[in-house]
Amino acid sequence: MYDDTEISREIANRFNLDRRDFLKFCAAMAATMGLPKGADAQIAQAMTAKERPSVIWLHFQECTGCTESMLRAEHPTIEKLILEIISLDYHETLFAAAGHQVEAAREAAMKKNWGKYVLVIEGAIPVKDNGIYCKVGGKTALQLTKECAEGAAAVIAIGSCASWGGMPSTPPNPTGSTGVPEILVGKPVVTIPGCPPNPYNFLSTVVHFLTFGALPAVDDKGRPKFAYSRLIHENCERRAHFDAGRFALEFGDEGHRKGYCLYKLGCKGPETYANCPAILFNDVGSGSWPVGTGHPCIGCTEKGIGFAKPIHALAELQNQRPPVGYPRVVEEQGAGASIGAIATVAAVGGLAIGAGAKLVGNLGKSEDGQDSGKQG
Amino acid sequence: MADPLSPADQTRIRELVSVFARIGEERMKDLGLYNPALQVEAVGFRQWQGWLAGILVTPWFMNFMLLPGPDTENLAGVEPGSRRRIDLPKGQVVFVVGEVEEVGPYLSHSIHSPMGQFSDHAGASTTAWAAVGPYFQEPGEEPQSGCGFGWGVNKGP
Repeated sequence: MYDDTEISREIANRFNLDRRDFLKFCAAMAATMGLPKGADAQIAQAMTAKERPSVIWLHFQECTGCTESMLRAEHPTIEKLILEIISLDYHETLFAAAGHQVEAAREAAMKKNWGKYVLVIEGAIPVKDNGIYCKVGGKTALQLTKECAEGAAAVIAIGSCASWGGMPSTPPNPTGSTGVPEILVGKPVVTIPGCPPNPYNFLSTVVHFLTFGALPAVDDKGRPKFAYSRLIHENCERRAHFDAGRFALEFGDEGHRKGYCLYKLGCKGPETYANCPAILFNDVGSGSWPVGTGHPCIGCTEKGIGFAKPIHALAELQNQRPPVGYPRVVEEQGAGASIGAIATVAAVGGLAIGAGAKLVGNLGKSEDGQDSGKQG
Repeated sequence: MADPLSPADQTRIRELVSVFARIGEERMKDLGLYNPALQVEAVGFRQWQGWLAGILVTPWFMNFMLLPGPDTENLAGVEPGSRRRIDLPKGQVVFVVGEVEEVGPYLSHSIHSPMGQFSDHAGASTTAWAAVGPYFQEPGEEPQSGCGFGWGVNKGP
């Protein structure tokens, strides 16, 4: 058992949080990832550990949207948690220093933490013409990726670009943009696709690594199963309209205004695996995801769909693989600690429409807003 | 043991099947997400705490459904897409409120959709019959002898 007073002091000093809220967060995180009982204590211990893992964060062909969405999350604690539980030794967007000074810092951090640091890559890697289309400090993205991956304990590709090439790889893909897994063949890479990806999915992955020293279980595309095992369509708030055959036929028509299914406008929900409808974005309550605001899903988490298939093109009845995750039997519910919002990640197990939302006072809105209180 | 359904309840289930069969013919048939190898079938319906509960298989979804009764929450006027958490013997299940003409409002919980993974109706039907019983069992409990009321494929309409 860990020393509780020690943890309380750590939490108060570093996270500026109430101990109770912090432990609630840990419990919610554990639920999120479908971890067994007792894992929350392990998570609490890992997150308050003195030694924070060194993280090297590389940016290549991207828009910095992944970093932006994480740091601008409505929930102020996410950024704080991320920056407090890891030691960010190199991040081009967040570093105050510049130029060769930063590159030197990166090399020093790698040397000091060789074999132990976490490498996060944001953005695609161009491989055409020996990768000359993206350079940082005179080195190509290709060189940097290989160099930094060599001493990394874990590699996380954040965003669709790093996951398989994403937007920069849109045909005709002039620079030969490629994802991290294709470059680092033979090295396990966890991908967190999305444009932007949900910060909670990234945070859960990091917490899993901190706690267990290993990355979470992933599917055949390297995506954590806890977040990408169910189709958007299966958790969609417009699903009842699909079942009943009610569709919006064009933007702004009656069906669109009534919240009907967006399939005929090109929604890729039926062929895209992600937990967006269950955990939503930015903790602002119901509807805060593309389909919730009336736009069809573009399939940004799915290689071969997002940035490949036109936005208006219809989803197809492919021979879907059987779902990686079946509906969870008992959905976890937490009580409303504001920090628990983060834990919405919970929804992960899939099915849990709104289960995540239940974990959090703040996010509770997403269910209440949809009139679900009574039996909730 | 699942009690046999009353004639009135059986009529409701038959209507559920015919309404969704009609929706299939009129609105879904031409869509890419419609699996023409499948049919509409009601699987394992029974009375459970006032709800009429079972699985509905269609060429475009397989849902666990609860149709309201006089003693359950009256779903009239509830916005489709609203959510409900119901404690079934199996555990807590999250449902979405749906509504179709004639049948009225109901609760549904997605098991599969789209249905591309089933190459024939027998496969989908078998999956549904196997899935329905456990919703009414505590984890570890022995399967019940009654399997509920089915309608749609082998019995008419």
